[in-house]
Amino acid sequence: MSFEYYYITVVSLVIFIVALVIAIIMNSRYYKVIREYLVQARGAEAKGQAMSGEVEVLACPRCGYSTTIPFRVGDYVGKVVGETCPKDGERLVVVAIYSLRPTEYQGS
Amino acid sequence: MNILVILQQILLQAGLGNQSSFWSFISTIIWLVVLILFFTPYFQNQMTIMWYSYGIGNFLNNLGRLITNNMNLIINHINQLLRSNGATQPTDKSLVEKTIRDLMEFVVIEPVSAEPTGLMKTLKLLVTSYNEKLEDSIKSLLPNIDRPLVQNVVDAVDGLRELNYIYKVIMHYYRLSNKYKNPYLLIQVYMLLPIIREYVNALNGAITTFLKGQPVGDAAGPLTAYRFMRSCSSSAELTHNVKDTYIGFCDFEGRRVYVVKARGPGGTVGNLDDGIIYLIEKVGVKPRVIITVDAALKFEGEKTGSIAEGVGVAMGGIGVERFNIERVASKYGIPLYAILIKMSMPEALSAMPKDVESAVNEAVERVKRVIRDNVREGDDVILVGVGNTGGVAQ
Repeated sequence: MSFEYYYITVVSLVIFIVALVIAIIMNSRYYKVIREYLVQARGAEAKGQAMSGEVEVLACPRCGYSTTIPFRVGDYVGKVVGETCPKDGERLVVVAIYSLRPTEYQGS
Repeated sequence: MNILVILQQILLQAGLGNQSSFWSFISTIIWLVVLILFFTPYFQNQMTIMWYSYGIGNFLNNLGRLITNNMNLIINHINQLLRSNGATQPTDKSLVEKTIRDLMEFVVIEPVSAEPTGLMKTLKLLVTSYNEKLEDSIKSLLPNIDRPLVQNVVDAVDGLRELNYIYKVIMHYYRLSNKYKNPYLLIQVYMLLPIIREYVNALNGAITTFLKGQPVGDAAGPLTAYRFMRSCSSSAELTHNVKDTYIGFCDFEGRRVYVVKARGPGGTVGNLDDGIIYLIEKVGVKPRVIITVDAALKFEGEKTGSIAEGVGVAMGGIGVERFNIERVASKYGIPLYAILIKMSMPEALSAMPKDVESAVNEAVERVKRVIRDNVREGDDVILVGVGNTGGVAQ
């Protein structure tokens, strides 16, 4: 085999290996980002007792009893809803509405 | 192929007769041409324009789709609102679309600033006129619908208008760059693209959130005011004629606290400056301090929901309201105290995250501490919850 063929083979191999290394490094970065997103999403779900997305907190203005339910369109903070307190029968008030999803996902 | 044969004949005569020499000569020529091309400015320009045009073109395509989707979302929402209100006739989709398109193209021309006297008054007039125009147009599409629901649609259309503006500006530079074969305009846009993309995603999330009537991160200020009111005693509302603004008062450990916030639960920022001026100049309140609570953009690396305190008026926007509050405070020598709840732009515009909601409780405690430290028993204090109050009542 002539020198040119050796030269071409070696150069091609070097380019191939460099490309492979770059691909592995870039992929490990992407894997890291994806893993972080997954951990965040799982954490948020665990915090929300298996609820994901938007939730609202209903509380009893008399005894302080509170419960978290999925957000219902039309509800707002300060609204007196139909549900009653299981302890004293007082009508519950929406005291908080928030999202459990990481913000990056909300727009997509 | 004929050219190659002729070339081969020439090379044969020149002594490069065998096949391998011939092909190595051809490949050398090709490489030389490629090299020369790469060093030619025109070719470089073309390649740069092609490269950046591809990225920006893709972004524009996605943004265009996003605008169309959001417009359909708003049209469907208007349709649903009318049906829920008992409308039997189907909505005239073309009329709704035309109205929204007109609003998207609606412009607010900045006043002349070469002569600054009365500039803030002019700005306030323009902002008020713009808000009224937007609300009147949406109200004409939604007759007999509750105002908070109309306000939510107004906010969504405002977000859509912002998206459309971004689309038009980027499209302008994209076309201009291609027209004049100038890659540098494209490069500037391309460099800003990640930041613009983040803002676009945030606005996209905000439109859905506004339509659902859910609090966004920016509602942290009004939510703090709401929770503070709930935590003190003898609360009542003051009657007044300041548009879209709630003014209430309550007793906190012997101090009279006047709470000013936008009137919810519809999406609005209210006229907080007018509320404060009304309290001081019409009602005769002599506050020891004016406390403003607002959502503030955090720096990268700062934690969402972290709280900062300072002096001044915590308020964003174009500065008209902040100017009016600063003016009235300096006129009467009232100290200004600010509490900032930190969040990113996407968090401020999208559904309120849990971290911000939790930070509101901390902000209420800070407000209480500031009042205890700065206001004696029997004195007055004004607390202002700054921000869009969509999804937060009083």
